[in-house]
Amino acid sequence: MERVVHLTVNGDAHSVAVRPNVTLLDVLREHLGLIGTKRGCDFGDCGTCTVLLDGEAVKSCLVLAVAADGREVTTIEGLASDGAMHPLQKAFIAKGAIQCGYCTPGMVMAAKALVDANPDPTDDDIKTALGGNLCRCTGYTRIIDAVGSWRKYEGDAAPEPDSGHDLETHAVVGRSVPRSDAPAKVTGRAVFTEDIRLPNMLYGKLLTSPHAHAVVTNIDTSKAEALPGVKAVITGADVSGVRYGVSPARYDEYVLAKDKVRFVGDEVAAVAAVDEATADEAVKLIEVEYELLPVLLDPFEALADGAPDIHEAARGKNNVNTLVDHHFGDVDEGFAEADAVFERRFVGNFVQQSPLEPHCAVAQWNHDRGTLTLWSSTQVPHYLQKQLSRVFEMPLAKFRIIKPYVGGGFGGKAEAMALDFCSAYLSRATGRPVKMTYTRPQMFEHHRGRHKQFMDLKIGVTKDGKITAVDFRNVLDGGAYTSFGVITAYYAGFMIPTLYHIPNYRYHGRRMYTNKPPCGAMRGHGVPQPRFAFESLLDMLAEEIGMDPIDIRMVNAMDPNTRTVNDLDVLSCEFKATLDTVRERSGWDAKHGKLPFGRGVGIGSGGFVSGAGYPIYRSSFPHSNAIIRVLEDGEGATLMIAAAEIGQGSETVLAQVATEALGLAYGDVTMADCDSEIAPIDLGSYSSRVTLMAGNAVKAAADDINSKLYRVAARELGCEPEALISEGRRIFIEAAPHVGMDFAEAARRCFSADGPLVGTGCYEPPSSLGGDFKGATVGTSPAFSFGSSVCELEVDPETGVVRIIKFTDAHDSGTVINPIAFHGQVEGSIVMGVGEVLSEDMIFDDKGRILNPNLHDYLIPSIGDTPEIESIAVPSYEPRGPYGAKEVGEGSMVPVLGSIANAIYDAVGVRMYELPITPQKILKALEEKESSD
Amino acid sequence: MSMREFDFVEPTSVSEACALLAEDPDGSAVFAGGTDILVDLKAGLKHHQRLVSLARIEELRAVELTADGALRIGATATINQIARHQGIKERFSGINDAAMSLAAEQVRNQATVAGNLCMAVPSADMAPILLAHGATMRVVSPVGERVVPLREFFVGPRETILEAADVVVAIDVPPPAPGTGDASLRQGGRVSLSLPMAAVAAVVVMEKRICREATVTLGAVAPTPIMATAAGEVVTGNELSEDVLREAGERAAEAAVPIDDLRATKEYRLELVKVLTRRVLQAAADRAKG
Repeated sequence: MERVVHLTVNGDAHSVAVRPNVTLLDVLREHLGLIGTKRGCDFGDCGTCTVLLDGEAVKSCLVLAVAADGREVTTIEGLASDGAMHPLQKAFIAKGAIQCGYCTPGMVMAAKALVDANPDPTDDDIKTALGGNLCRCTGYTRIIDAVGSWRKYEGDAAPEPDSGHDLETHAVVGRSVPRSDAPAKVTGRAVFTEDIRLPNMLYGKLLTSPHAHAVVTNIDTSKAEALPGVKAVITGADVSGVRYGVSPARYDEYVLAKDKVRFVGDEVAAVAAVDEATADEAVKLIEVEYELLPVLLDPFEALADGAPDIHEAARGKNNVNTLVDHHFGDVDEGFAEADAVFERRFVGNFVQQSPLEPHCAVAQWNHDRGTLTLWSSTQVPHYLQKQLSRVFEMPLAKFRIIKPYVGGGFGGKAEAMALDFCSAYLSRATGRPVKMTYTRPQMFEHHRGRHKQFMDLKIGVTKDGKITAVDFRNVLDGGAYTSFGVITAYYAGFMIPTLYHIPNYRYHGRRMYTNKPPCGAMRGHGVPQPRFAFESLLDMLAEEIGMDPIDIRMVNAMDPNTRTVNDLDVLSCEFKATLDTVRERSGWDAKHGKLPFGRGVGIGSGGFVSGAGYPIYRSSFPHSNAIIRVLEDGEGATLMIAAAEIGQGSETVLAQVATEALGLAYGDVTMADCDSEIAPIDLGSYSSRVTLMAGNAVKAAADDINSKLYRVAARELGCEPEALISEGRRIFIEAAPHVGMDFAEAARRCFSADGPLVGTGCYEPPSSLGGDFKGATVGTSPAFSFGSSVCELEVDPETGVVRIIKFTDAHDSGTVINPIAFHGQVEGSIVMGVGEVLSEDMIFDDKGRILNPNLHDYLIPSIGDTPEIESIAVPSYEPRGPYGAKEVGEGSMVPVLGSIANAIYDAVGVRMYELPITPQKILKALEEKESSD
Repeated sequence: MSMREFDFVEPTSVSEACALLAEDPDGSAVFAGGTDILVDLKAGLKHHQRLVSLARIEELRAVELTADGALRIGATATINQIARHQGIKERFSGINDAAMSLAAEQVRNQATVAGNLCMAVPSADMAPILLAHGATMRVVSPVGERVVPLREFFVGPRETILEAADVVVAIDVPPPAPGTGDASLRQGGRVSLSLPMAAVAAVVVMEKRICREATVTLGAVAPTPIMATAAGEVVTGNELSEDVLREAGERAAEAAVPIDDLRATKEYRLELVKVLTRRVLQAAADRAKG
């Protein structure tokens, strides 16, 4: 029975009629439209829904609205007064404490409660007060800094960012300008997909399989359809016979199961109803009959002769989804030249991206025009459009994709998903908009996170430490569908020879189908686990031949302008500088091997591509395409590009590139919405491609504008267009700077003479990339990043608990376009890596069910787990990058794993071969070591 | 996650609460902070026709520390009421330890000490230290009031001696003897927002270097929070030498009957019990000196 609840929210009195089972979060978002309070997990774990209740921080998903009757609520919308931000909000902007922005409102509210009670909090006070707020992007360090320095932002001053790391070579590039989206995110105005409410909207829910492997023999939807409020129910019979996926060679997923289900969580049916509760209820009323099949959870069992086939298409292939067999040089000869050869098996873990924002899609089918508008929390608007076009068998132009703010992706939102298709079908069936969101457990079932890899690695070195040969045999547990897996299986092996000179290299990789959630691309795609194995084994060899771990890396380190043994082009490479830098800044020489028992330092290195050299499907379109439109009065410009901002700061970086190239001031260039109706194709945010590829396209578009302006200005100034440059909102003769005219004036003349002043630009990687063997295109890139991390930590030898004390990280990212954003990527990578190494793992029971599909027992680091981090960008210039820039977001993740494992060895003398390195594993290893000593 | 429908009532007196519970003993549940019960309801693990909230019963909110050192925690007193209480910090540091280790700030603002005990999960953070202090529960039912020692309160995982119409109105902690020190330690999977893999609490009474009395209790290593009586006996009458502490750890581990689950193996939990027992006894003794 409904009752009227009286709340004072941000000072305004509200009376809301609710049922007792409705939470305060629901009332704020659904009844009052206060969407600044975010729903991240709905189980009281993540903290994104934090509000103040009578001045105290609470998680509004754990407060019943009826229990809040008569009380005072403050949400993020109530924090700024008369449009003036609270000093905390300004501090978050200035300190770079915001990335995707999904945790931000809750984080700020928790901080507000803290500083109200304790205006001068210590770091420990901050860690205690914000311990209930998870963040997946920032690594927390800048949040701690922002809260600790909030009082500096009292008063009217606008937030001024820290500029300590700025380059002085350019006007806008290399400057820590504040993120363009930070004000919207810190005030709760930023609209994410889940925040969208369209008129007459329905709510969709998925029914997923409770069985890991079964034939669907019958589905009865009659009871669900009969439930009042249910508007449509769809099953496999209602959806396209065209399968989708990522790799054209392995499109293996139906929108809804047509024959079999292959993992717990495989999508079986979908419902649209007038509200979420009705949709939830309807899903339970769908009756599905299954005929159970044998379940294969172990990739080696799947590989055994006689194992049942998970996919018919892989029949006779022992469930091998992808086989890679590469041999460069002659490894046997290489090992014969070696003085020391070690071979070990390393095992990875199932790590899930766990962005704070759940995947969500809102579909609106327009029957008058036969078109679909889809808002989706996606990293890849174009690939999504492409897959919709394939599955619905309609032209691309019929699908308008809009990407609102995205609350983190890390690869988990880099492909079309069931929610996109099902919301589209349900909207088509009902003629009404339909919103669908994954619950947190469904996010884990959807997965597309890391593959667990079983890595047999063999390395040979001479007594001087030179690597002579590497042999790598790898089995990847891929789960039930291909997703990005073909590429993962290649990347896992292909990236190994990019970091060190390896004259002879063999890689044998098999990606296996199993009845587990499909694995996909996650930050560092396929590379972090093999790099953990490699960096560990390299340290073991260094010890064997009596060499310092940094020295052995220096001896083998990649050099600039190298073609690797597997035909990858490395142009810029300051890997050695990263090693030198971390050696010095971490105090390595005084620490390695010299700290007391229980404390240690370790080095790890790694890097990544700056964008894939080839698109996922064959296409003649340039990878990135940009349009810049200068406004009629010449006082500003709009940049239209569909490269997906997902929290990493790409919009800011691209705006900086455009601004620099146009010679304008930061703020003059605004970003158009990421909407396929506005901006042309861009392949999106994956493979760390945006800064280099989209940056080049943006610069080309700006150059196009400049060439038009220079023609007009040259006539006016009586010079050749080539003599002109644009800087400081002026176009002038480079050799005679006083001779020039205002940018705006030139732009107005241009517009008056020729109409709209529009520049276009595109970027296509060089066609020369890669060799000519099978699979040679995968792993190619215009540029590679390089980095090294030194981790200092303590191991409690009695409990096995690891406490990370400090990370010193140096990364060669080419020219750094925005230092604060750069360091934010590094810090986020490090803390995500800490979780990956120490605590994160999806655990399955023997039926293939995930035992920890939540943020309660799947342990991503909390703020108290965050170490001190020193991040350094080494000077570097990438000739293929815009202003010399290349990637940082994924490469900075790769060194972390090995550095922790090696530091644990330095601390307590145990070598850990299996991720995650939990306290109980360390303790067991210590016991074994003691009994064998 | 939508919850099934339920009724929500807010009595203003304990007797009214008891009466409401008695009307539908099988379908009703007591509601205090809600941080545990809502998670269960959302996950569909439980369903109640009616939640009987204690929030509007004024007298249940108080935390009282009397001059003689006795502590009374009202049924709706939150974890943070305890954690921020200066007197408790000084006189019952171990209770403060336990409160600060629970979940995270927002949950501590809402969750109640009594609720933490009544939900009776084996890993309940407040249980070991209150058990070690010999706390008692004041329970009111339609037929009267009774006092239940906490050590008799837990029956099994998520199971207590409470009858359907019982309401816990307060938790009483007796005044500590002179020379008492207490501490609570736990090991979770991350710094905040984690359940303990093992927890140990200790209350010791020190006379110079000699321990006159020691109580050791364990959490998350048995179906309920438990006493590790033998561990306390090892220490009693002795100095806290390395050998004595080690022996106490071994005795504590013998009392534990942990399980393997996703958070930790049985073997690891036993190791943790040994280590944490040594450390928590030392910490309690150090505080007694101070």
